[in-house]
This record gives sequence, C-alpha cells and structure tokens, in this order.
Amino acid sequence: MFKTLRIRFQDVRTIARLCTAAENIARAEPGSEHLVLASLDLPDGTARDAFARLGVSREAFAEAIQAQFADALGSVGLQVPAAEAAPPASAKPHSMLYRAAPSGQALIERMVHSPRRAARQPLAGADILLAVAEEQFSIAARAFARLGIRQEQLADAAMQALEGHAS
Amino acid sequence: MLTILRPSTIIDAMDLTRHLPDPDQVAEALAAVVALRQFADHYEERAVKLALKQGWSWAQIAEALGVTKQAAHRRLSHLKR
Repeated sequence: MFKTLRIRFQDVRTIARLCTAAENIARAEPGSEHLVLASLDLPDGTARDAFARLGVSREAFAEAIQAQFADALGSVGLQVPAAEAAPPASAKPHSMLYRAAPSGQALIERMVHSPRRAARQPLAGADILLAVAEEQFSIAARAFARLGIRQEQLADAAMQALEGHAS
Repeated sequence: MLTILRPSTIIDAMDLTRHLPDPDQVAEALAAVVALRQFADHYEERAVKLALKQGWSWAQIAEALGVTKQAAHRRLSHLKR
C-alpha cells in the first residue's frame, strides 16, 4: 500500500516534470515528438540510455523532426529549407491548465496505462519511448523512421534501458 | 532580424492540383497536411509580427486574416509589438 502510494507520487512528479520540459521545448502545446525530447532531460537517464543504445543523439532527433516537415512539404511541391519548415513558435502565455497537442495527450495516456504500471514500476523516461514505439504515423514516428530506426528497435532499446535501470 | 519569406521564392513549385494525394501514399499526404498547418501557423506569426512592427492595428490585422478582432487577439496577442 505504502509502496503503491510512493510510486504514484513519484509518477505525478515525473509527469509534471516531463510536461513542463515538453512545453518549454514546444513553446506551445507539445506533441509526442516534444515529449521524446523532454524525456531525455529526466534524471532517471533511461531515455538517454535508450538513445545511446540506438546510436542517436538528441540533436540528430531534433534535426530529423525538422527534416520530416521539409520532406512532407516537399511532397506537395513546397520547397522549404528544413530550418524554415517548422521553426520554433513564439512563446505563448502559459495557461493555468496543462494542454498538450492531441498526439502528446494520447502518448501520456498510453504511458500511464502501460503494463509496467500494473507491475508497480515507477515511470521513467524510456516509458515515453516505449509508448512512442507504438506510433506508426506521428511526427515522432516519422522522425525515428528518418533516422533508420524501426518501431521494434526503439521498443527494444527502451525495454533494455528500463531493465538496466531496475536492476 | 525579422524577415518574411517571399511567397514567390517558396511557392514557385507549388501547384496543389498537381499534388493531389496518391491513393498509395495516404500516409505521406496526411503528413503533408500536418506540415502545411504548422508552416501556415509559423507564416502567420511572422506576418502578424511584421504588421505589428509596421503599426497595423489588431482590427486591420483581423480584417486581413478574415477573422474577428477578438479571434485574432485571442490567438496572436502573445506576439510582441
């Protein structure tokens, strides 16, 4: 009982930290790609570990996000340099309520209801990556695909990072 | 420095009627929709910033964007004059 409460309290703090970091990165309503970047800043280090296992850097993932926008615009004949395809938005005033873009909301929901939660494991950064690995068509999924990373590879790296953290 | 991309330089090749979604490439077409929305949002922000810098009123900006003054202000008032 006490352990469950302690884990839940820890999870609330992790989600709050994750959401704040994602909001600062997105400077608007964060999507799943911003939550991936935010997960790399979590102190548990599991998302960073998973990225290292995949041989991907934060910068490479951020560039892949921009590049997939440029690719998508290019597919309808709009030639825009990657940096101009989706430059950082202007900071919007913070609302009292946390609001994420639909892809970010869905990701947090999936993460919170993951089987690991049933096993009473505290949430960690790699849980975000595990949840993103279920996405096929999101911006985050397209960015990973652009880096040559398949869904299974991402899930495996996230699982290994989580297992390494738990042991 | 604030610059606006000149439409003539970026939309030269754009002819959406020639780029209607290919039934075999639905995922690409949907990704393009997302990218176009994001690009339009950023383009709007940059244009409105420039308009504010040149002294346009919110009423004028709203009229040019085809929205009400309240709607323009609610969505874009975080942009600094």
